[in-house]
Order: sequence, then structure tokens, then C-alpha cells
Amino acid sequence: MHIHKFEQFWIKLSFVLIAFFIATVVYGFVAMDLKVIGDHATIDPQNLEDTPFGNPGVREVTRNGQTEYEVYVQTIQFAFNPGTAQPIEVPVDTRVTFYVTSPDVLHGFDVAGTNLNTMAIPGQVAKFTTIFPEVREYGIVCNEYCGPAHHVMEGKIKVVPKSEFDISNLVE
Amino acid sequence: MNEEQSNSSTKRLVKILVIVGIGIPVLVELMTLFNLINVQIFEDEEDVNGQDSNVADVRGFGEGDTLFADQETAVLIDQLRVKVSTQEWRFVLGLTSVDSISQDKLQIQVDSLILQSDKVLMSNDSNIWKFQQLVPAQAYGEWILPNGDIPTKLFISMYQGAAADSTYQISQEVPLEKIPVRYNQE
Amino acid sequence: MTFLHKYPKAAKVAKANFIVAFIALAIGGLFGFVQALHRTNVFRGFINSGEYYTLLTGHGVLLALIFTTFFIAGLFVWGVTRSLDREPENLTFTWSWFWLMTIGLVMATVAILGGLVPDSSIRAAVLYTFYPPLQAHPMFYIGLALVLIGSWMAGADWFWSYRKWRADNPNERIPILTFMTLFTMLMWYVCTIGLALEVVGLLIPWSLGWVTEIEPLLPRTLFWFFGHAVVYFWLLPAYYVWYAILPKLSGGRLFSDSMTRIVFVIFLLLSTPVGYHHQYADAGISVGFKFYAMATTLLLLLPSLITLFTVVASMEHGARQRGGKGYLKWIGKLPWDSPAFVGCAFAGIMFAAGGFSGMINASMNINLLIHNTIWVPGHFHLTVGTAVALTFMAITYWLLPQLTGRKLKHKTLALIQPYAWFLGMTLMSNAMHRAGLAGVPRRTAEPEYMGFDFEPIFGTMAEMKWQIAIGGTILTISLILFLWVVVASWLAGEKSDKPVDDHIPEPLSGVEHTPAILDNMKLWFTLALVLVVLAYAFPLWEMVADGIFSPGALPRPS
Ligand code: HEM
Ligand SMILES: [Cu+2]
Ligand SMILES: [Cu+2]
Repeated sequence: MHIHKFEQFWIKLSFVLIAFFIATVVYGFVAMDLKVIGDHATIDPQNLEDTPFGNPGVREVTRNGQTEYEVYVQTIQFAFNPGTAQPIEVPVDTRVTFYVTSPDVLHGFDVAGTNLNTMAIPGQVAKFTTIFPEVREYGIVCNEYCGPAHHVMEGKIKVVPKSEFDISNLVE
Repeated sequence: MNEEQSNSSTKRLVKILVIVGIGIPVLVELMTLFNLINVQIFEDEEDVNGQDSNVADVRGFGEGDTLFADQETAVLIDQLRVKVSTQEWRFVLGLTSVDSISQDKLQIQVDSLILQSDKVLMSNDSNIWKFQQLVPAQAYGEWILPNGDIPTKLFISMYQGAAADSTYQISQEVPLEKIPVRYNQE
Repeated sequence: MTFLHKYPKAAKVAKANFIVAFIALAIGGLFGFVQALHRTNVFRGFINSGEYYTLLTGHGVLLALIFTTFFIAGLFVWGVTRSLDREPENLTFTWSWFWLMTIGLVMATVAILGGLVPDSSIRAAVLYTFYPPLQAHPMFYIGLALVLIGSWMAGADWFWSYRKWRADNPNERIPILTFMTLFTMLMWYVCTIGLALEVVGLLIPWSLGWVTEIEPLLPRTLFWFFGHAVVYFWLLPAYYVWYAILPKLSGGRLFSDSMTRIVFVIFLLLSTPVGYHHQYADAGISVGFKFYAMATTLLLLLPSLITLFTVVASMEHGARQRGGKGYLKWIGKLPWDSPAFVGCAFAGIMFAAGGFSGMINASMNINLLIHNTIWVPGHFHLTVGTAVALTFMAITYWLLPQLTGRKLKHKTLALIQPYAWFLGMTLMSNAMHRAGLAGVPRRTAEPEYMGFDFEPIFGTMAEMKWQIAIGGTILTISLILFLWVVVASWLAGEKSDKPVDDHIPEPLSGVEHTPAILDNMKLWFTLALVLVVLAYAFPLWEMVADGIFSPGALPRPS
């Protein structure tokens, strides 16, 4: 087979480019802790009551001697619970782990303008951990079509200074 | 038109097309590139957490709020939502009087709804809800909304005495906070 | 003598497919216009926001599934007939796949448009990805299944022609047009296994109420088993045009026959096992498989980059034949006044741009920044919406005269059309990408929220909305120009024996330099199946092991 020398050069260049992209992603994974959602757990979407999702909200946990928070969120047509009726309030500079699932249809859980972005799939629990670096409010957008009022589905995350964090809102 | 003329007019057309059809896109993309680099290099620490000002701060009424709060006939909003199914959007409002008042012929009426699209729904008779000497006094009403629309404001009036020649009437403008929108399983 | 006169039967089949394709394009394009105005809040008077999703389903299905499939069928009928020099083997069979697909398409469309009729129970506002447990009317799924079966039969038709031809020509290499057709269809057979399992195995019984519960992740995964390869099913016919016809339109010849074949083989092998890259944000699929899909996806850059080289080289050769000189000056010598050439060239340029945003999409963790934002439609309007659709429109200017025996009318309008598309698409897609970076979601009738505002990195939201609306409007005008030229030429073009120069010259580096193993379809098909099994067997098994329909969710009407 005859391959023109420019073409050979181009193909080599292409491989370099591809390797570069894979390396970028791996670097993000390893060095910057930019992970993606994986395989956490399945759940019966019709019986969330008997799970932590039955009492959704922010919980305090101690892990490795550190105080951390867990947030259980149900996405329903057409609200985040919690998130829509009242904002999800978490302290700044603290590890927060989100668990998201849906009892009805597919939804999205996207903290607008950030890379906190997951699908909420009935039957699957999405789990991801983050640390909010600054005190501010974030909007949560449902970014997967979920029915005729999909576009009204929104919520809020309120990141507050540790000193102002109100533990009376925590759930057991 | 002879061959040459048509040739030169095609040439002119192509020139214009290239300037507009390629020139503008190139410009748009260059501007984007410039802005991206600019933001990355020069405005990195630009404060982005400014709480945005155009998010309305006037809190509207929601579930649990009280209407006519300064009257002795105050009423509580105990249900306020939009129920959505594939066929229709329905506005639901439930009111409870705060202290089980026993005044005669107290009547509350929603005069109109202002919708997000600026449309106005006027009440008709079936939308008049009366509070009588029920304990606790409750009223519940539903409106069919134009599909996809959401109320942003209510006008509510309260009458005392005979409805027609009411002896006593007050009205209140009720701006609403974000109404919960929920799926309605029929 | 042109195609019509040599192969009148095949010409009729191809024309029938094109008619359906263009009707779908017209309706789908109109919906696109309404969406562009509605979601930017420039004008919301056409529909209410509940109906937006019905329209969006129509837009996706009619353009991405129907327009493409029918146009491709017409194009392949033309190419196979011409390169094998045979009319279809059995016209009853040929017309039966055409009508089967058409009936299916009508069923699906009726189910979708039912959503615009008040109180109709026939609805299918499930979008073109139809993720359960949102449920459409059974007619929607059955219609799609018929289109699918029809497309399988169409593929069989071309293989049939090929076998007959092979019997008469035992020692010849597969002609390049047929080669590309057959490899595209082999890929189609591999990836539609997923779609068939999903639609026929799960969704039809479920929508008919034979089973009530469904596990959402399983059909979603099966959809994406099909869903990435389908983009190559759209794209490969565009490549087919770029490889086989574009060099001729630019005045030259294809650069290399062997590279062309290698590219199609790679696509057959790698198109399907990459589907998880649409599920990076899904729970329930392990990071390892996502990583495997990502690496494969990025490897798929290779054939596209080779295509870029070959196409540009072929065009440069053409320009030099026309007297072009210098490093870059030859570009000016290309036929920038030929609608067919200009359309294909712009399609190629936009595809390169789409490739860039595609690399972001593919990069797993970076993807999360833009997953399901309007960035994504920004991306695929460059790829399927332009690289594919504009190529199809452009090549119509060259094919239609061959199929109808009539010259093209309104050449000036035809020339304006691709320039307008390029302009409109740059505006729309650029703003969609930027809005997506701020987090603006896709598939949303009113992307305005009460509790917060989006914060663009630069520019303002208002400016982006206007850019989308104006871009969408220019695109719509361009589409109207296209349809007008087609209808006018079809009905009233000047009849001619040779309405267009349809000669395709031989490649610069011909088939004699191409290794014979590339033509070994059995080998590559088997290998493709093995790769699919490696990627999918384990995750699918995990999903099915706890019961096919469990953990089950109840259906929700759409
Ligand atoms: C007149 C030209 C067009 C306009 C103005 C247009 C406009 C749009 C807009 C605004 C959206 C985003 C809607 C949303 O996410 O809320 C969209 C989605 C889409 N468009 Fe287009 N489009 C055009 C042509 C095309 C073409 C030619 C194709 C493919 C052949 C195409 C395929 C799609 C697909 C697949 C979607 C995604 C649908 C979904 O998310 O379910 N469009 N279009
Ligand atoms: Cu949603
Ligand atoms: Cu893909």
C-alpha cells in the first residue's frame, strides 16, 4: 500500500493529538480530582420511603474524624426535594456528598456553570462529592427533559460560612 | 444577458457572498476567541459571586402565608400550586380562615389572575368561593390555565354582608412567589 | 445519457426517497425555526411551552432520523446502481422496503403531531431519544420499528445487487461507491441490534401494557448502543460524498483509494463500542467502561482526521488542475461559484469545528461542564445539522439533475443557499456553545429561572439569545431557498440529455495499491461484533441479572 509521506506525517500527528487528549482527562482525574459518576447502588424507585431518600435533606456525618455532610436529593416532576421549596444549605470548604435519585422519570441535576452535573435515573443512585470553595448561591437546573413543565424545575444551593451554618435544618 | 455579463455578475455575487457569508462567521469566531483568551488571562479573578441584583427580592405570597393579615378576618393560604398533566395545567388555591370567624356572609372572591405570559384570567361566578360559618372555614378552587402558563399575581376581594350591595369590601393584590409545579396523576 | 436514462427504475426509487426526505426536512426545519424563537423568548406566540416538547420531538425525529435515513437510502440506491451498473434485482422487494419505511414514518409522525391536538390521547412528546419511563403512544414505537426493518431490507437489497455483481465479476475489487455503501450498512446492522432490542424487546410490549414496569437504565443504555453509531450512519454518507464526488466537483480526483477504505473499516469497527460516552453522567455504569468508551471515542478521531487530509488534498489537487498556485493561493481557484462544491466545502469546514467541540464532549470529566446544556445542540448542529445536512443539500444540486433529467433552475439562489447556511449556523451554534458554558440547559422551552441568573464567562445572555434567534432565522431562509430550488428544478427545469457533468474520474492512487484484505467484509464484521461484545456484554448483563424490568419504574404519559 502506498501512503504519501505527508499523509504518514499527518497520521502520526493525529496519534499524538489523541494521546494528548487522553492524557488531559487522566491528569484531571488524578491530579485535579475531577471524577465522573460511577456505579454506586441500585434502588427500588417505587419504595424510596424506607431509604434515606424517604427523609431527604442534609445530614451530618463524621468520617475519618472530620465533619462532613451528606445530601439526599429526590428529583420529582417538577422539583428538587430539597432544593426547590427550600435551598440546600451547606457550609463552605467542607466535603459534601450528594446522593441523587428519582422516583418517577429521568431528570438532570446540574449546578449551573459548574461541573456538578449528573443524571437522576429511577433505580440508580448517583453519588458525587465536592467541596464548595466560596460563599455564594448556585442555581440547580434540571437539564434532562422530564415532562411538560420541565422548564420550571429549578432549585438552589446556598453555601454559607461555617459560622452561619444552621444545624437545626439538618435531618436525622 | 450575454455570457460575459452574466459571468461578471456571478463574480460580483460570489465576492459579496464570500465577504458576508465567510467574513461575518470568521469575525464572530475571532471575537469569541479573543474574549475567551481575554477572560482567561486578564480577568481571572474578576469577582463572579456578586449576588445578582435582578433576581427580584420582593418576596411574594406562598403556601402558609396569610391574606388580609391586618383584618380580623385573616385567611391562610394552605394550598397553592400548579398541577400539570399531559392534557392540562391547573391552578389550585386553598384557603383557610385563621380564627373560625362566625361573621355572617363572609365571602372571598378571586377577581383575576395575572399569568406569566401577561395574560389575565378573569373570574366568573363559579370561581367565587364563599366562606360561611364553617369551622374551620375552608375554600378550595381550581382554574384551568392556558397550557404552559403560570400565575404570578392574584387579585382577591373580601365582602361582608350581602354580596350584591356589600356593606364592606376590601381587596388585596397578591403577588405570588414561585408556585410549586407538580405532576398531576389522574 | 444520464442516470435517469440508463437506470430509469433505480432513478424512480431514489427520487421517491428524496421526496420523503425533503418533506421531512421542510417540516422539521419549520419546527426548528419555531424553537429558536421560542426558547430565546423572541417570539412565543406559535405554541405554548407545553407543546414545545412535541415540536422538539418532531424536529429531532423528522430531521435526525427520517430526513437522514431516506436521503441516505436514495443516495445509496444511486451509488450502488451506478457503480455496479445494475438496476435493483427485484423491484417488488425494493418498493416494499420503501413503503414499509414510509408507513413507519407516517405512524411515528402522526403519534408526535397528535400532541398538538387538544385532548388527544395520541401523543409522543418523548423526544427523539424516547427515554422511558416517559411513555409515548405505541404507534410511535411501532412506526420507528417499521422504519428500522425497512432500512435493514434496504441494506439487504444492496448486498443482493453486490452478490449478483460478484457472480459476474469474480476477480474485481468492490467499486468504491459500493464499498462505502456496504460498510456503512454493516455498521448499521451492528448498531441497530441495540435499537431493535430496545424498541421491539422492551418498549413496544411496555407501551401496549403487556408489562407495566420498566428499568430506565437498560433501554437508555441500549439506545446509546445504537445512538453513537447512528451519528456515523449519518456521517459516512457525507464522507461518501466528500470522498467520491467532492474531488470531482473541485476539478480533481480522489487522493487515495486505500485510505478511503481504511477509514470505512475503522468506522465499522469502532462506531458502536463507544456509546457510553453519552452516559458519562449516568449512575449505574462503572468508570472503567466509561474510560474504555472514551479512549475508543478519541481513537475515532483518527479516521476523521485522515478524512480531513484526504479531502483537503483532493481539493488542492483539483484547484491546481484549475491553475491554482502557491501554498494557500490555490484556495481561491476552487469553484466558489458552484453551489454543490460550496455546500460540501462549508460542510467540511463546519465538521472540523464540530470536531473540536466533540473532543470536549468526549473528554469524560470535562464533559460534565457541558453535559445536557445547549452546548450539545450547538455541537451537533455543526455535525449532523451541517456536515451532514448541508452536504446532502449541496449534493442534491448535482444529483437531482441526474435523477430527473432536468437542469437546475435558479442557480443564483442555489449559490446563496450554502453561504446563508454557513452564516446562520455560525451565529446559532457559536451562541449555543457559549450559553452552554454558562449552564443553560438544552431541551427547555423557557430557560429562564426565577431563583438565579446564568453567569456567562463573557458577553450577556440577551446577546446570545438574539444571536441564536437571528442565526436560526437565517438558517430557515436558507432552507426555504433550498426547497424552492429543488421544487422548481424538479417540476420546471429544462429537460436535457446531459443536465450535469456526472463523470467521476479515477483516484490518484488507485485501487491497485489497496490491500485486498480491506475488502474482506466477513472478517471486519466479525471483528466489529467482538468489540461490541467486549464493551457491552458485562454491563448489560449486570443490568439484566436482577430481572430485565427491575428495578422497575412505572410509566408516565408524555
Ligand atoms: C432551520 C434550521 C434549524 C434550526 C433553526 C434548528 C434549531 C434547533 C434548536 C433551537 C434546537 C434546540 C432545542 C432545545 O434543545 O431546546 C434544535 C435541536 C435539535 N436539532 Fe435543530 N435546527 C435546525 C436544523 C436542524 C437540522 C438540519 C438537523 C439534523 C439533520 C437538526 C437536528 C436537531 C436535533 C437532533 C436536535 C435535538 C433535539 C432534542 O434535543 O431532542 N436541526 N434545533
Ligand atoms: Cu426536567
Ligand atoms: Cu456519540
